[in-house]
Amino acid sequence: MHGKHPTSSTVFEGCSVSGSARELALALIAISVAVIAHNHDNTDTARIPQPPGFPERVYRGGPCASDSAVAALGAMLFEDPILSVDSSTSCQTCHQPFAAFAHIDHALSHGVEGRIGRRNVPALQNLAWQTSFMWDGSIANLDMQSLSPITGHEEMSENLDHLLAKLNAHPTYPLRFRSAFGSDTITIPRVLRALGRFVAGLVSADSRYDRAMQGKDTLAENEQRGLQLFRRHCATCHTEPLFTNNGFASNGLQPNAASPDSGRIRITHDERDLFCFKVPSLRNITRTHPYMHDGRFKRLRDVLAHYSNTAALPDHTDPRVRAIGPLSDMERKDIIAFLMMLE
Amino acid sequence: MKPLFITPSMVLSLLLFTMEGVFCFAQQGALGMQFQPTFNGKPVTFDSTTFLTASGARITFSMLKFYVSGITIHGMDSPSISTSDHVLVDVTEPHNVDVPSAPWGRGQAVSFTIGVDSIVNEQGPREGALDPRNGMYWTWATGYIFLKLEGTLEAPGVARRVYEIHVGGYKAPYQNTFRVTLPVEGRSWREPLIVDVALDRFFDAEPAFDITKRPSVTDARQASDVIDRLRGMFRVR
Ligand code: HEC
Ligand code: HEC
Repeated sequence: MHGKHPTSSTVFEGCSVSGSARELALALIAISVAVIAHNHDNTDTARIPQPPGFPERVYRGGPCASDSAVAALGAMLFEDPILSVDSSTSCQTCHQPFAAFAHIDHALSHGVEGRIGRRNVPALQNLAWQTSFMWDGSIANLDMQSLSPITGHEEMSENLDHLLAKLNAHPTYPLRFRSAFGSDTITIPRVLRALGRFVAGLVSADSRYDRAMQGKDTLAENEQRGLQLFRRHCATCHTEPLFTNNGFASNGLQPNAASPDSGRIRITHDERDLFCFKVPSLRNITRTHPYMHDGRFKRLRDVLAHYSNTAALPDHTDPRVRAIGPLSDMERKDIIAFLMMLE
Repeated sequence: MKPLFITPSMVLSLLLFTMEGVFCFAQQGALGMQFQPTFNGKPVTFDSTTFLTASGARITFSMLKFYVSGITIHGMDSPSISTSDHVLVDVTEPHNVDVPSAPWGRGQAVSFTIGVDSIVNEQGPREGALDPRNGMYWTWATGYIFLKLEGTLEAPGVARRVYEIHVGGYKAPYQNTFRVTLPVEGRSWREPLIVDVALDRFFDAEPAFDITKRPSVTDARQASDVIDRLRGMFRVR
């Protein structure tokens, strides 16, 4: 290209007079690359229905050949133990479909070789509207979330290579990747995006509560009272229609002596976040027992007894929980009747 | 100039095309960058040469990897040019990684960022240098590991045999990406710019870092203590 510039005769240390023109061209290229890259990242490829009354969706998918094929691939991966080191455990082992993708009757998660995890398995629902993930909000991106269960440890490049080898050798995965992403190259980002897209599509928006709000169903008297009580005492945190405000709080649980978990402070290093956990959604709550980050409560009754027991709350308790005050038996039952509508 | 309709493959080919353009430019008499590890001025051979730190530990190096982005050349009369992509530099590779950059002849300083910014950290997975498969990602919390320095360690009365310095963290109060600015005035730009990574600065810059007491740095808070030591390692010859 050098020779094509007869006018630029002064060459100094590899930079000719036409250098600034070249710089400009380069800068323009850099800018257009940036513009395109930006555009590309913001494309909303995820065809996830927007239920009435829901806020704007956070999850937006990413470049793909077919959104539905990505979701289908994610579903296949989700239930396939191929993802675990010894091919024993799938996502579904812990996130059971009939339990709104939580793990019924298990306080703490169970992994490969029967290892017991640190925390209770949360339900997977409406994740596409969630801004952070895990009980302490340690994960900021839904597609990235799967890295954590797949690898289990922070040093993992070895395992990921092993996983790619297994997927490549599989009779159908290469084809599934082709229909999802347009080529049968299997990469870790593609695996992560397929899983993320599948779980993002788990939407809960058609409970009796939703139908009642749309005027398609009616509330019984006790449910109506429960709704009013819920809005007064609980909805600042468990905000409708997602039943979470995507925030973090301490709802007054005593620190768990058996397995100490300081919660969100581990991520933010901010004193105010000591023993704070993510406000979980209460949708499908009847199916996701046991409750709380450590699964300490088996029944909704126990949860309501906790919120009602304002005398024994530890110092770090959120004032909004303190303000709830003792609830009568009747009030507790009414709230539970309302919560049962969220299934 | 707003693109009307872009399919992913179009984007890719466009990107490839423009990248190629950048490489072409870079080739003709332009700046490439090479990172060369040294200890007290001596070249470091990975997994073999043993060095003595000021606090009396005998150490070797087994890994040095880091993300570089935003390479900018600061000149006199024209705008600086910046590459925005992240490059994963693995200093143990026998053929040193060249960082492509702009053609240039009147630079006074070159600067670059070590680390990955918050936007990229919170975006979804990416192919290439940022693929989590490269082992530069903390999975227990969102975030890339910006730099990994690892090796073996031997000191009287110390049981521990290895050290690992993993630096990451993109959120306040432990926002640990850092920028390095190096003077390059009067350099020949026909040769790649050799950037020394003076590892002795990490261990021995005052006050000396006693690796036997802190053989492992693995989260953002711990990492924030060593950023200045790391920045101090980068020098031009
Ligand atoms: C060993 C049991 C187990 C397996 C296997 C497992 N998970 Fe989980 N999952 C959990 C636990 C426990 C949590 C909560 C962890 C925490 O908060 O620290 C969780 C959290 C999540 C979350 C965040 C939910 C929220 O609301 O924040 C998502 C999404 C998720 N898992 C998806 C997956 C996917 C996808 C897989 C398979 C690749 C998977 N999980 C495999 C136990 C498991
Ligand atoms: C200050 C905010 C706040 C208020 C007010 C609040 N909660 Fe909670 N709630 C939380 C947090 C945070 C958690 C998770 C705590 C944990 O696991 O450590 C939680 C957990 C729960 C759970 C367990 C969910 C699960 O999946 O494990 C239920 C059920 C619940 N709350 C119901 C209620 C009800 C009913 C009320 C009103 C009487 C209420 N909450 C008021 C913040 C709040």
